Amino acid sequence: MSETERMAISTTLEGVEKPVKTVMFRVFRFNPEKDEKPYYKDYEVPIYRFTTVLDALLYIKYNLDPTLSVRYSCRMGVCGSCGMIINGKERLACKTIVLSLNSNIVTVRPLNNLPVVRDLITDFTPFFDKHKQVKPYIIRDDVEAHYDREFIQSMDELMEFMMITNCIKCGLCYSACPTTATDELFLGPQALAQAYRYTIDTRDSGAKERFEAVDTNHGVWRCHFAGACSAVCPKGVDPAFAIQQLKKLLLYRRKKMEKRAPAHESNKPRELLKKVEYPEGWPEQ
Amino acid sequence: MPASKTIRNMRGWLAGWFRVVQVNFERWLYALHRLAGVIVGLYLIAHIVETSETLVGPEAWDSTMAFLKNPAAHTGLLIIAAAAVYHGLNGVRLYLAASGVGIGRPVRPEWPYTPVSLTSSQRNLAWIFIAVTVVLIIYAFYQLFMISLWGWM
Ligand code: HEM
Ligand code: SF4
Ligand code: FES
Repeated sequence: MSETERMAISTTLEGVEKPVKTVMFRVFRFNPEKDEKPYYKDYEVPIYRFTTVLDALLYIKYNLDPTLSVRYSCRMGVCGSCGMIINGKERLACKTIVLSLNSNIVTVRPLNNLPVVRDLITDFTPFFDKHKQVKPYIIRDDVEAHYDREFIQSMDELMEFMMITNCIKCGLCYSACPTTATDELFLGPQALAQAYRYTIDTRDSGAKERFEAVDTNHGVWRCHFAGACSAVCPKGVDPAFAIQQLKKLLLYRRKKMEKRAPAHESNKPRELLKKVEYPEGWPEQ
Repeated sequence: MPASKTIRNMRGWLAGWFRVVQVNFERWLYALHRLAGVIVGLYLIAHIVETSETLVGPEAWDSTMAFLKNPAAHTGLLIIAAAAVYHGLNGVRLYLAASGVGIGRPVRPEWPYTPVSLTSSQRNLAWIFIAVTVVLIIYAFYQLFMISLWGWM
């Protein structure tokens, strides 16, 4: 190993073995059984190079204050449970490296516009209800006709909505949106983006039902293209894009979309799963 | 299982509509559009009251005009002119966006996930409209102050 290589590795390891600094975490606390009002509590947390905000909160929970409640699951930005407002901006706690915030005080509070259950935990019931309202699934009469066939879709047709399939229902967009700030019934960026995602999908023929769900007083027209959703989305969904596209469909292609025949099936059955080979000694399945 | 007690936590109009720190450019445009819409709306009412003076007679109209010929009133008119121009132009941009113009094309979702709608031509259009608004503010200043109030020409 050359000297430069060794140098490179030692630089990469810097801040991994010993904490880089101590950061003050100012955490929103609220226990419905004890507290009349929420308050902020400060905790000092040693920060390593790759400590995430979620790591820091769990450090607090394990070492300083076991009563702190925080919701998380995957710790890698795929489950969407750990959304919160970190230093004034909606972020996933597990995908936010503390040092990247460039701040010695980190304020953490629960997402906006959703009821706070306790500490950093918000109640997602209204959010999921709205997601359901837009019928986020393929609608067609023959959906279960042939379980062994695929519906034909070209790469270009897939690209129309591929980025919107990335949504992990983390609610960051819902918290950032200015319309949800005052309109409790507004469907929100996440649900509206999914409405577009399924409507534009060529395998779908549910445009009519979905248009009825979004073309309401609290639907797509309450979007004013502030773009806050797209600015905070951690998965590149770009809800603002999807919602403007949904408006476009409603304005110019409503009838056409409502009458569109869904993509047909492949005439070849899908290659069925190969028989699994189990290691010796395993019971027959 | 009903939650015992929750905090409603809605941001409300001030902190929600007019949240302007750590936000994207479009959010500023949105807040300004709203503000400008209200200003123009209030002006519409004031304008109807003002012009209805003509029903009383030419003298009433002239005295109203004389009463309004002062720096404070003309500053108000300047703000209204700016608001009207910005609101109208930005309204065109919003209309185009709702028609799918200027918001880009979908991309394959790959890190670092740049949102196409916030990096496409609608943003350049916004800057052009802001520039037009600034030019028209300067023109309105020339008309309202240099010519009308200070009588430079
Ligand atoms: C040039 C003429 C105008 C155009 C092109 C225009 C365009 C628009 C558009 C497209 C919106 C919807 C914005 C959105 O979706 O967020 C809007 C909203 C609004 N407009 Fe206008 N407008 C014009 C004149 C006026 C006038 C004369 C008034 C006052 C009476 C007005 C007051 C408002 C208000 C209060 C809003 C709501 C603000 C908001 O939704 O954020 N507008 N305008
Ligand atoms: S659209 Fe983005 S920000 Fe909104 S819920 Fe889905 S992943 Fe989260
Ligand atoms: S814990 Fe799953 S997204 Fe953060």
